[in-house]
Amino acid sequence: MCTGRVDPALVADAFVNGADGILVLGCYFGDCHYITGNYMAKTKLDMAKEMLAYAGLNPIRLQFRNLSSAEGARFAKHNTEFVEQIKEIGPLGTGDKIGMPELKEQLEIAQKALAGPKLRWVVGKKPVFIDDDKGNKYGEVFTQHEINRTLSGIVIDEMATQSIMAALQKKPAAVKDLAKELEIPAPEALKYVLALKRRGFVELDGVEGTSPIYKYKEAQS
Amino acid sequence: MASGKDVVGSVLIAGGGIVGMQAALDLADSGFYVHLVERAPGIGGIMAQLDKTFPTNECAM
Amino acid sequence: MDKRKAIYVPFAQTVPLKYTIDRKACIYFKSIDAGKKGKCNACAKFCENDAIDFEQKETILDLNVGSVIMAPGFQAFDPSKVEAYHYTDFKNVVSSMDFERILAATGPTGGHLVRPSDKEEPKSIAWFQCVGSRDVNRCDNAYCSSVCCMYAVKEAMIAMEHAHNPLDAAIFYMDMRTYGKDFEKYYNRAKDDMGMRFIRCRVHSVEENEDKSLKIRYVDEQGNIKFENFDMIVLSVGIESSATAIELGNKMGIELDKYNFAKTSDFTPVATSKPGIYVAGCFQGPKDIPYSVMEASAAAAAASVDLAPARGQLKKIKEFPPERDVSAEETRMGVFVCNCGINIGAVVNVHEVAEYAKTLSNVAYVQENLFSCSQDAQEQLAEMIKEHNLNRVVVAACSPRTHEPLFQETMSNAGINKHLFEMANIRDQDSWVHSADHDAATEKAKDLVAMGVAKANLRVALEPIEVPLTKSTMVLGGGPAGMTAALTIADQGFKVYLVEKKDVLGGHGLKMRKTFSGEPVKPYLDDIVKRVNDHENIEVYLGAELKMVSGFIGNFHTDLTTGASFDHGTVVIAMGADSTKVKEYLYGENPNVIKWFDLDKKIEEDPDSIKQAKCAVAIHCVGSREPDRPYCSKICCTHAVENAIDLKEINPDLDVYMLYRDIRTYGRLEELYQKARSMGILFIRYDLDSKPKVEEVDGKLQVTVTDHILGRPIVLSPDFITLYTAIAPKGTEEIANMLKVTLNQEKFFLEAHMKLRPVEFSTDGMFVCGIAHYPKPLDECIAQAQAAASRAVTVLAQDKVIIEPIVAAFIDKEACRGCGLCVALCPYGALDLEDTAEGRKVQLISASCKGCGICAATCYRHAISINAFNDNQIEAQMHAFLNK
Repeated sequence: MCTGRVDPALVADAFVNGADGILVLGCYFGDCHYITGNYMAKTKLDMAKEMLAYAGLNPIRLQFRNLSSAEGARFAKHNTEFVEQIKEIGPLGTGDKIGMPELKEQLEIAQKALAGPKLRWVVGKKPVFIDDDKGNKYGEVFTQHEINRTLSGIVIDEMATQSIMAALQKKPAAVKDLAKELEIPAPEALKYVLALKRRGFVELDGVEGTSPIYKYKEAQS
Repeated sequence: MASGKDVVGSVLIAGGGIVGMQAALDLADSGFYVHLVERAPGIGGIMAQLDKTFPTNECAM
Repeated sequence: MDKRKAIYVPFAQTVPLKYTIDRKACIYFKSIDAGKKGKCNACAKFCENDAIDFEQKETILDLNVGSVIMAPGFQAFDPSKVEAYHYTDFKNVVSSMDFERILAATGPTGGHLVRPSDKEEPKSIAWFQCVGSRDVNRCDNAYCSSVCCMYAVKEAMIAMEHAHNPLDAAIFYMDMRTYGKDFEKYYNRAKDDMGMRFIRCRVHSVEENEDKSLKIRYVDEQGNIKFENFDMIVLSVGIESSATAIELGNKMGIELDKYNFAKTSDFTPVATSKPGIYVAGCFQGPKDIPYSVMEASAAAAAASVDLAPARGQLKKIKEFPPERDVSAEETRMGVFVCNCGINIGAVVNVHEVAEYAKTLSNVAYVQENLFSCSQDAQEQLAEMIKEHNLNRVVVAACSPRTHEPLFQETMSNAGINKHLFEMANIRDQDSWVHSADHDAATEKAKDLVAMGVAKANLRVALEPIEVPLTKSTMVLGGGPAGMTAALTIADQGFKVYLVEKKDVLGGHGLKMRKTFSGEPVKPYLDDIVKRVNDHENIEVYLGAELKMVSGFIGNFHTDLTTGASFDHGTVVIAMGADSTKVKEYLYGENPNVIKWFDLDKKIEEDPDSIKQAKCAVAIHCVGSREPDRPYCSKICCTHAVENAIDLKEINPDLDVYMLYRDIRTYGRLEELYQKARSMGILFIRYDLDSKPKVEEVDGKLQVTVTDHILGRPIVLSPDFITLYTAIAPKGTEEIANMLKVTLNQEKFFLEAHMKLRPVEFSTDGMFVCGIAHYPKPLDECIAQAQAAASRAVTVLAQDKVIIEPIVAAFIDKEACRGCGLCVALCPYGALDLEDTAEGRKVQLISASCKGCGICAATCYRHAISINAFNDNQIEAQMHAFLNK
């Protein structure tokens, strides 16, 4: 097994269940036992880190470091250093952007986003998209910067979308209330809600005054 | 090459260190019977007395 | 080093793990051997199982065998023979073998770095190199023992890691011979990153101070007499043949060389002088572990070529009882917590852990063991499985890396699928690293056991995967290594497709004049080319390159650029390497600056020009051991020395200068170095930061180099300069991508395991040999090729390929939508898309899968996972830890 096996959703799962820190140790780049697995791991964990940081987690809590299987002393050093760093910021919910229990809620939302297809596609396709010889389906090659910007955009979209779903699952609401609760501009919130409606995750519940009320629709795919 | 009737499909290996063991495994995996002979009461040889091995500092065990 | 009892186990992991009696120490045997009646008998009286039998005698077995392989190994040189170092007199002077035991966790000090006199941690240690090697004054071992430089660096490195305080580690050496794969980087790490000291000299003498520390006297490179104190001295003892090995060799009637190593030819490096008797390891000459392992396989190959017709004649097949189907049973788990002697028991409260295990879900039986790996504990494990009707087992002990197969076999013997077993590593990952905090270690052990149990609860029985096998191989490269591999496989009755890029067979062999022991290459090469061309089992493709290789172990298909194509079961890569381009020392600008093979040609074709010359200079390490290429090219030193001797023999009046950094004529090649020096060839050392300067002055070559002994520049005016350029891989990246095998940082092919799997890749069915693996002389290439062939034959000799089922598998095939994301990411090409009645789905090619799990971490439908490491199992382990 390879660090490439580390599913970003599992990482989020561990934080949701109270882990204070996660250290992933993989081979040196260019020396991977599984050829390219460690690059994959790094890309995925970078993405997970961005997502979880957006959700409020102190990004120090998730680290990827390099090591060969024969470097016992270095392994110990990495662990000790990491544990020290985590001890310094304290248990989950202290030293993070938000405290408990809000952080846990946000992490659960991030977990759903990380388990979903969108980010996985972009991350999975990243090596191909930035390869000079390949690029996307239309032969367009992207720079590292362009891909990262796209990823950041998706992180925000996915978090907002999952937050709306989570809020609507609790109780039906109007777009303006959602916008207020989630601290995003109302037109943005409307865009997400309509997209969700189109995909069949959300439906109209009724109208209150002039505002349509939306509710969560049980998944059917 | 001798014909099948003349040769015996077994090999005697003198020495049960890392070399003897590797040769024995290769031959056994290739379909030959191996007699591995070692003077000491157990196999393992000198490598078993080493702590770590270079250049990866892996445990010799 | 420590006291050993008269009844002992040689070492904890020995096979068989049984006690034995030291006849020389046992009171009973001592009296018998003195001709008296045996006394004592205490052990026999106390042994409950009546396992002591003093009457057991040697029995003589008559064996009828087809071949013999001699692998008696070596003995370490006895350092007491070098009186100046006082090995027997001074307590703190130890041999390197003693020091290995001091560092070992199983050794007399329990792995604590202490000096023998007062059991205090030493603050400074000196290593003396070449004790019993490269020495004709104090012993007769003129050869270099090949391994001591590296093991001294290793010992010093481990000592520095073990030490609680900063340790001054100093290595006193003549030449640092770190010539093997990744050795130079290791040396650089020790020197540059760890601050190990390297002092070039042979230490003159040692005195003992009052506090038992040691005062040494040596002469430094500049000729100054120096004194230094050290707490401890380690003598890096050389390798020699033991008296019993020599006796064995004589009994077998094989020829030994003057150092009492078995005599072999460079062309048949594992064949002794007597047909049917082969040799491998240090009895053939001093060498390191990887090369010994390689030779072991080579000897096996040589023996099996002889015996090929009788393959399978005496084969026995191990049978296991039928497996019990436990899928419908209620889970009943057994947990076995090991003390590992005191390794775990002295730190972790094993009883507390065992009691805790009883509270975990589905645990039906818990047992504490002293050594879970011992034979009787294995038998008991099988019994307990039956008695308590267990269907899952967790052993909390050491590393699955070393011991999982043993426990799994016991599971099979008890009729339970071996995948219903889980290990919790409470030794390497717990007791060994947390020995200072027993309570925390015990808590961690509980966590590890809880996680093991959580996973074992979700384990299911798995069956090995069988795939058909094409009994043929492709060999890539038609040089000496490729041709040797091809012949070794073809001679055993398997088809070989030999693919060579050039239009002729022979590779670099065509440029070689002679081997390092002076055997002419041409007759050998002509013979082997003929044998390859005439062989009924070998198909040769010249001027051909790989266009596409698809498939997996047992089932490859290759298309060549020539249009030819074939199916094969294994691959041997022997594609060689090349000399590098040079942009320094006026190469390409002055016609008298030439590369090494040009000099070979000159010696062969134009000896007159040498006869007329007055001065010749050779520059070593051109492009090797530099920041850009931080490895030693291994063969240039010897080749340079060999050429220098030839120059001197053609023209004794010629001044021959060798500008070198370290002379790395390892093993018996040291003889050439000694011969060169005795002939008056001059060796001048230079450092990387003061490389020789080559200029053209008045149309003539001029070399300036700083002499280390005189400490000032020397100016030479050579007729020609030979550059010993580095050997570097060429085109390996493309091949590695196509075959899905790994390369190291320098783009040489990277074997699966440096020590124990030196000729195979972690990708199954792929093997490597020759200089595509790393630069090496012809005899080593040939041995390695035989070894690669041997490993390939272990695959080809089977009826089918059997694969461990730790591979990608569907956990929910319906969920797969055939999106293909995992297919694109698989590093091994083990996934494909296929159209099925239910739509497009991923197709699993288990034989190509290495179980990395990238697909499992990518699938958002959770359709695919890795057997024995699926999401549910990992999640359960995580939750067991986090929610305790």
